[in-house]
Amino acid sequence: MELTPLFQWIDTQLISLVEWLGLPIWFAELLEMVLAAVAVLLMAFLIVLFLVWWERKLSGHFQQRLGPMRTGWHGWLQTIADGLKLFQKEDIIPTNVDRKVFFWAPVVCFASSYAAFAVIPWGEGVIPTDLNIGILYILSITTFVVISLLMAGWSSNNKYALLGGMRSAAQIVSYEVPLTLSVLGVIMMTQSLSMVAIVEAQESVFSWFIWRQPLGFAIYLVAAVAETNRAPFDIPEAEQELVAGFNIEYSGMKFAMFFLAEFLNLFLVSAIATTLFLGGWQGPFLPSWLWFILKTTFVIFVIIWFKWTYPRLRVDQLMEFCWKVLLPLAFLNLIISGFLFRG
Amino acid sequence: MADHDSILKLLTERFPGKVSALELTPAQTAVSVEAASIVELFTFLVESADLKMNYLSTITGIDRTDHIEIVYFVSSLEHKHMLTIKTKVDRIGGKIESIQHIIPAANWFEREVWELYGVDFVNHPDLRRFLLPDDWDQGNPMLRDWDGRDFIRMPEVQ
Amino acid sequence: MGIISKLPVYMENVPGGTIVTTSLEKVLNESRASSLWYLLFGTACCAIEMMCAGASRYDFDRFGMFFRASPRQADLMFVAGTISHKMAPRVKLLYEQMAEPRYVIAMGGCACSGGPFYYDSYAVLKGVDKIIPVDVFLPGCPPRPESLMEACIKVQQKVKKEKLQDWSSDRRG
Repeated sequence: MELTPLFQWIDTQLISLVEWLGLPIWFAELLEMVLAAVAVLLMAFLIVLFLVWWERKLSGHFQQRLGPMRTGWHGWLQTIADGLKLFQKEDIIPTNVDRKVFFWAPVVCFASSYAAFAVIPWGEGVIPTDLNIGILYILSITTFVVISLLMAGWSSNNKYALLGGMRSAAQIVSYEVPLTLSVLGVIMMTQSLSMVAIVEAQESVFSWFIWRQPLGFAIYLVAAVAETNRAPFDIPEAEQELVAGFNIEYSGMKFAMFFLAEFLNLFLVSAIATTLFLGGWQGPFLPSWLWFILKTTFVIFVIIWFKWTYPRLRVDQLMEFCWKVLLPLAFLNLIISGFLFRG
Repeated sequence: MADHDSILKLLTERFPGKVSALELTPAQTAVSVEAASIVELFTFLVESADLKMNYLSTITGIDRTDHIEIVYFVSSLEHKHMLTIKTKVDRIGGKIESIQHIIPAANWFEREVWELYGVDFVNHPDLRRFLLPDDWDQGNPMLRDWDGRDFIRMPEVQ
Repeated sequence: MGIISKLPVYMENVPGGTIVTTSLEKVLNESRASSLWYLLFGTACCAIEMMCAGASRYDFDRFGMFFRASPRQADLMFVAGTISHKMAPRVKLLYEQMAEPRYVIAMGGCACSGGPFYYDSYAVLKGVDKIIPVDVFLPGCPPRPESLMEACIKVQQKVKKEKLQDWSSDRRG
């Protein structure tokens, strides 16, 4: 039940439509790109729908209570209710904010998470575009989140937002270093930056990079959790300390954008973990896109588990952990893998 | 180290005429002192090796309709004994020396008594209002005859 | 949102148009009622009951309610605890910072009317409805979590009765 024949069929239909309309062929390619982007956007919304509900249910069950139960069967309509409610909220713009920056911060946050979805391999042949610099592109684009958090923190004209934004920027920028180094181990072994090449280098279950780079996987997981501002690294949006951090002055749809972007980021780092370490879409019997979704869901479950088990780290403990523990371990990983898998 | 009787004996011998023992409850060691000698008494309480009472639990006031009684509760962390000290000041315009330079904890307690009862603490470094709202202009609430804008007295039960 | 408040007037002229407005109203009201996010604000003992009601045994999340720390993102404020004259301007400020549509539950005796501090107290505001509009009064000292849930359900019922015509901000809270 692979998706490649479906895409080829769509391709031929579009080309014949464009020829019938008398437009040049590149127009068909442009339409295909737009269709792919829209499809990924729809998938992204569906994913966030599921993830918000799933996190609330999981957090409830971890705390021996039930999560949402009233809106639909076991609360599966909860995300839709949240979204509709946020749509109806008044959009407050406080008086002394920097208006343009205040407006664009949530947009930049969402756009940078969404842009990284262009190179996620959902299955065999199901990738919007197979850039040959795949993983490098992702690491660069996700850095834009830092800019959007700084924009949000600074423009809100509120000392808590500023503190939250600054702490968040420091945290994300610091944790990018061990993240990149752990990914570098995988790239060394694949000898290519392309996402599809990385998946294809893990043909059998025993050649998954999680067995060949266990330390790299551990470092990647911890750094990825810190990148997405989730607990135990969520000091920038800690309720008890910073009254919602950089989010504090956002209401209504702008807040919904930040919320959406956080869950998209969660999915993104899990998808990258699946691709890099767990063999991507490889697997017997089931179609490739189903394997990808199952593996990504498993990684998301582990990350949600982290959030609701561990207490929050203080900001100085967080930074110390990154620079004094993760970074040396990442270098060690690089040295050992470089030696073991030489040639 | 000292017990009930020896503390009372120590204080009454050191300050004859100014300090006298009080019988409040069986558990309390209590003395009453003249308002003018409060600083001397506290200096002795803090510096004496037998007493070493440097932990001030609270300072509070009681409006006894013709005067205001100020009560100090001190105890010793080393010797683990406690003392209750009562003084009397005038109801309107009462003044007493501040003991803030001996025990710094008295700072907030004295501000509270000043705010709620109107007792002036001489030599207090920072006598400002802090418990009542910012725009308070209705006098000293804890006096028995006080009446304010939003104050409803409990009706007498027949 | 002026267009939305004039929508029922236009739709009445279209045959069968009122079905659209009533269904739209129903969906929008249901979504707001099922997703009331409450402000993490509590002063005294009632705040502890509010925390209990949000925790495992009684669980507000079943109704889709969870806490947000910032008033800009909250829909519902429980005024939980005694409000003194010193705290009153801050409560008013928090209420004004909330984004509309917003609802208030006065939880416990002290917020309803001053509670045990009604007589002989110079410092307590006699009921929080002197400074902000309250939707549901919930007596109790403190009210049990089940009572608090009933108050939330009453707010949900109130939300579900709202009309599209009232969508301009000066008619609503």
